[in-house]
Amino acid sequence: MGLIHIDKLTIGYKKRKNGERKVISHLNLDMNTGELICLVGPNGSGKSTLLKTITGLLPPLDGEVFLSGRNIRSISSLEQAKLVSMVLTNPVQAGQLTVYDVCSLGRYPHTDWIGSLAQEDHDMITASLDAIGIRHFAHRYLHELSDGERQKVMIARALAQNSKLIILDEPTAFLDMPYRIEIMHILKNLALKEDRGILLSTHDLDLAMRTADRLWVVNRDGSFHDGAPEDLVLKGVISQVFAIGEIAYDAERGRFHIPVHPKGSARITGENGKFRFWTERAMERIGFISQENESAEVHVHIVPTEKCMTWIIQTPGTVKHFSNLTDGIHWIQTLKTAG
Amino acid sequence: MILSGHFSIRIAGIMTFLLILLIILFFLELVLGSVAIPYQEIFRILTGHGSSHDSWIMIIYNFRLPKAVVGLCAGACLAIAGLFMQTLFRNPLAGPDVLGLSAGASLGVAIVVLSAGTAGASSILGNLGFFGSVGIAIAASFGSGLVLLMILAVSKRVQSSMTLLILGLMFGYTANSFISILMHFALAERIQAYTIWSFGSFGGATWDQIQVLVLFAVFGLICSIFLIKHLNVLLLGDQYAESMGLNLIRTRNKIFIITAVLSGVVTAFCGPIGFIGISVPHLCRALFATANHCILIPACILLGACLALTADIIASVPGYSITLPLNAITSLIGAPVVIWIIFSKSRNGMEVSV
Repeated sequence: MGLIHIDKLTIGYKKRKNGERKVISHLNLDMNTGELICLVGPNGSGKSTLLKTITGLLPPLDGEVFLSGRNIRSISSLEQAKLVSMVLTNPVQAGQLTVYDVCSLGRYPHTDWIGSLAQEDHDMITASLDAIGIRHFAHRYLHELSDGERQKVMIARALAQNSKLIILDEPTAFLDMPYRIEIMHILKNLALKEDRGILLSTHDLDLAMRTADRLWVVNRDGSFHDGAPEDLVLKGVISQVFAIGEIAYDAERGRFHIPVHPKGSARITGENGKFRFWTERAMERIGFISQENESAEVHVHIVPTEKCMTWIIQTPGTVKHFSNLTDGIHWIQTLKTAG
Repeated sequence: MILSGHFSIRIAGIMTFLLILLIILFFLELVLGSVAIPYQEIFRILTGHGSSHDSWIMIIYNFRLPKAVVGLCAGACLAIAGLFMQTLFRNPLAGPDVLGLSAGASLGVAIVVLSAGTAGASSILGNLGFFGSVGIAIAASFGSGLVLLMILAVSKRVQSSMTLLILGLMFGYTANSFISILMHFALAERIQAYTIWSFGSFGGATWDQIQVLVLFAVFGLICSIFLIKHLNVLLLGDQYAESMGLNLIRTRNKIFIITAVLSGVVTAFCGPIGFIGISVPHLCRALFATANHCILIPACILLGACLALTADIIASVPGYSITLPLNAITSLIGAPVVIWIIFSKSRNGMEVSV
């Protein structure tokens, strides 16, 4: 039995005068424990609408959603809270609450009328803090933490809620890169080690493709794709869904192509490895595509010298030595504009 | 929510201190007044041994003791009502009056006082007689009850609590503008009667009325214990609370009803008392360094009662035969607290602390 089973689901909003605005129609989806699924798609494609419908915040226009085999139309919000927990985008602003306090609030669906915590609850909270690796600041106040730390606390709270399914709505939107990667790493581990199902929406396509077991891709036209990230790239789904004008997904390199005005070609020789890679990147940035051909307008030769690396840049008629790329690139650009 | 060892000792310590302070203030309220009564005599009167002066028994039983009991209840109720509103709306400047309940109560009283017949007005003027003050209490309850019904009707259809906060404020403004219109056409002596009511007072209630006040206050405070769990989870915001299984609209309505009972009954008997509801929850959070309602609710009851009694003692100006308007004193104590909150919060870099 799957964590999520979606049967002929149509999602969208009801309009005032009996009208409907359908966002996605006739969706059939399944999700199992141990899976990390990333929901990706352009802005306004219906990611939030889908998450809201799955968590019962928005009634489906048609079709059914089953969580752990139970139809969400027929379960109370308290029962549902035992099946699915949520982490939202916005960092929580709450004063005078410790990390442990916030985590303990996750026990809400399980505690008695006054919310007193039994030993079992304390064990669950401690285990959740351990799983996220934040037990060492359990007694710090939430308002003293950074946004990234706070988001980890909210994930620990979701764990303490002890639901098999955790849904996260753009949990890393406000975070810097290392935190984004760390949070994704934590979520991946939760799926693998604790056998939870993790469904999250994100705008970080690159990170999602490198972590998720499956991607759910929503397009603005209401089409929906489900599959391993690599399959979706090979089928051309990613480049089709995420292309806007000149910005396109480069399936060969697995990244977005940033449009630059092409100025010519460059031949890069000498040192290999990271020096070659970053020299190529630098040349590409200013519009010189790397090629093996002798006919290239610019020839960059990378040689290690005693103290540092040296870039010998040769253009028709001139040769110059540089100890870094900053000066080298600058020289090529001034040369080009002058010529 | 967990409390580590030294933390719970600290909390128990402050709580005991507040309780002792409350007992002292309650006794001071009985001792201090325009007529000097030795405290030994007060003990004798309270323990039922009588006194050498019959008038002293009269003063204690019919004037100072009712005032102390009303003050205690009013402070506790308003502080809890304020705490509820701050938690529900996640707004540090919310108080029991943000829903427009006290404005509704004021409108009810204004209609009775400003447009009633001369006989009614004059009896209200001196707060004399059973009919006068009960009439005011009924008018006030009716006014705040009506506002509550409007809020509950809207609450079903509105998802965002912020919208309700704005609606409550709008109800308040509307009620206040009706009052202004009524005052514009009213006779000077009735305006004065209304103004005196709006100054607020813990005095003037008979024991029959105090029974009603205490009954509602105790009922409201007991009900609030059942809300502790829900209030705590609301600290993370409406959306998180709902995702954890909280029925937002039902819980919100329960909070509204209890707030209306607590602040409505106080406004009915004491007039619109300001600032206690805003300042006490903040003081409690700062004192106990927690947002856990398990601690904040008893703390607010104790500190609210302490502040109300302190304000009343100051307002009655011990040793003189004059009394100051109670609301002026609560604001004199309350305003510096609110200023302190704003400054300390901006220093801590916290935007909202509820």
